[in-house]
Amino acid sequence: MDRMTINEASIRRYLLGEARDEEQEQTERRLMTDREYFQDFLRLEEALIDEYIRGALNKHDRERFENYFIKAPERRESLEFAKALRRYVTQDATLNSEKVAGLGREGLPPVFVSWQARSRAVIASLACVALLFVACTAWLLAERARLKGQVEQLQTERGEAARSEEELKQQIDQQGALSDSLVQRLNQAQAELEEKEQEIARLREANAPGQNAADAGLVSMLLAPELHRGGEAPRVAYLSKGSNRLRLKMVVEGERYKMYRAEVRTAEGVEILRSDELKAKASRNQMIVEIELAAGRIAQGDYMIALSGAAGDGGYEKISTYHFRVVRR
Amino acid sequence: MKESVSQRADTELTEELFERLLLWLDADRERAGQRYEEIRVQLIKIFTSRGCLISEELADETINRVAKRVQQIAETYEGDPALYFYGVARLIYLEYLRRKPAPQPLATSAASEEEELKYECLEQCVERLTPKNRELLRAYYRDDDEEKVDHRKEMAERLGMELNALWVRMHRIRERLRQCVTECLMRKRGSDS
Repeated sequence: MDRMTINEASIRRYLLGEARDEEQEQTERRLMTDREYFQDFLRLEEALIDEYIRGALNKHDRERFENYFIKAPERRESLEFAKALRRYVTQDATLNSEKVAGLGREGLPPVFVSWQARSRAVIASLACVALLFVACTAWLLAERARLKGQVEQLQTERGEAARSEEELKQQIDQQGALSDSLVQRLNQAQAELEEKEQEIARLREANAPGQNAADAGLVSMLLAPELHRGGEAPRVAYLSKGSNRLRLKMVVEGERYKMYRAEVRTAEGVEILRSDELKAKASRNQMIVEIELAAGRIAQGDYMIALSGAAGDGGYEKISTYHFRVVRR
Repeated sequence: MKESVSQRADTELTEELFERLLLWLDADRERAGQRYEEIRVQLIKIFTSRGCLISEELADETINRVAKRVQQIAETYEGDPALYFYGVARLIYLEYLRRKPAPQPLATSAASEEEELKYECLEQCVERLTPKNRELLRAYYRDDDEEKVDHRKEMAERLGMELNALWVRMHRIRERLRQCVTECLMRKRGSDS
């Protein structure tokens, strides 16, 4: 199951009120912080209403929809609006097809009708052949002119439609390029900001009165547990020449343990540090586990920390993973 | 219920508090305004998903309460401010559960006139869309069978965009229509009374 499918299944459970407490909280936290996820949520909310109206929900989902999803007035309003929209489009389509059918029945010019009458006259009397021939020719010329006009009109409309489509494509391309450029600039600005913040923190610590000389080269960084692998860009630690230690503060969520173990590995899986018997401490309504690495031991690159909690049987249970990147300046 | 919420909320957001809240969200005022709107919509959706009957009021109550605390927390708070809003929203939800209002009555036959009025408005509003958007709307909802998604996929390919981008565009058109229908209904009700 790919990332999108996992997201969709989870959002759908949430919408139908079937997510358990933990999943509900996780979904809501992402709704608040992840724009793309929120957009998926809006899309699936609409799709659910759409499926309900079309009778495409299975019995179980239909019951959940009626007993849970539609409880809120906003959702009832959305359902009513979707029904009205569907009714409009259906009626509009019917009306258009009737117009087309009407043209087929009534669109024959009167000359054609008279020609039919005359053709019967031809059978009755050869004397009318000449007259009929003239009438037919006149009608054919008129019809040809009319059809030619229609073809030209259709070609003009087709050309306009193609132009409109082209304009639309260009607008979309422009918007896409603009959006990409903005994202790139945002990422760059965030990276610069992060670097400056770390530099400021380091300078503050170095200049603080009574500061221990050993803390002068300390770079500190807070890491949140990763919810989905590959879902978010890792936090970046900028190590300058003056940095001698990197302190990593890992936010711990879920069940608490007496002792923790942290294993730091490179992106290739090489373990560079293992630290046992770590304890979590409270900081600003969060539980934090801290480790420190000597800056000299860390090369530039991506790292992963696996955090485990001490189980009763002497072993360790895996709790969560954290990713970070080291950039040397 | 509305009274109790607004009484508890104590709630008018002063300009000063609001400005401080925006500054906390982002130093750039325009981006802060956008983020504020996003957070409000996200909160409304969360309250709605939890089955609340007054989601908008609860979202505003959440924002007001956060605004009052910004001065104390702005210096020390770490992480995405949206998560702080979420924490407060959970408390507001628990308070809401304790004083939950009676469920609203289901629509009755008397509502059918209102439905017709809405439909009239919808027809007018669709006619006010640009020809391109009107055509998109018709094409998007035209097919009604199980192959609907495939039909939309084809439509997106024809327009040279991703399916999701097509959905975003349709979402904007629908939201514009909803807004137009709401305004039209208000006008019609005003002229009836």
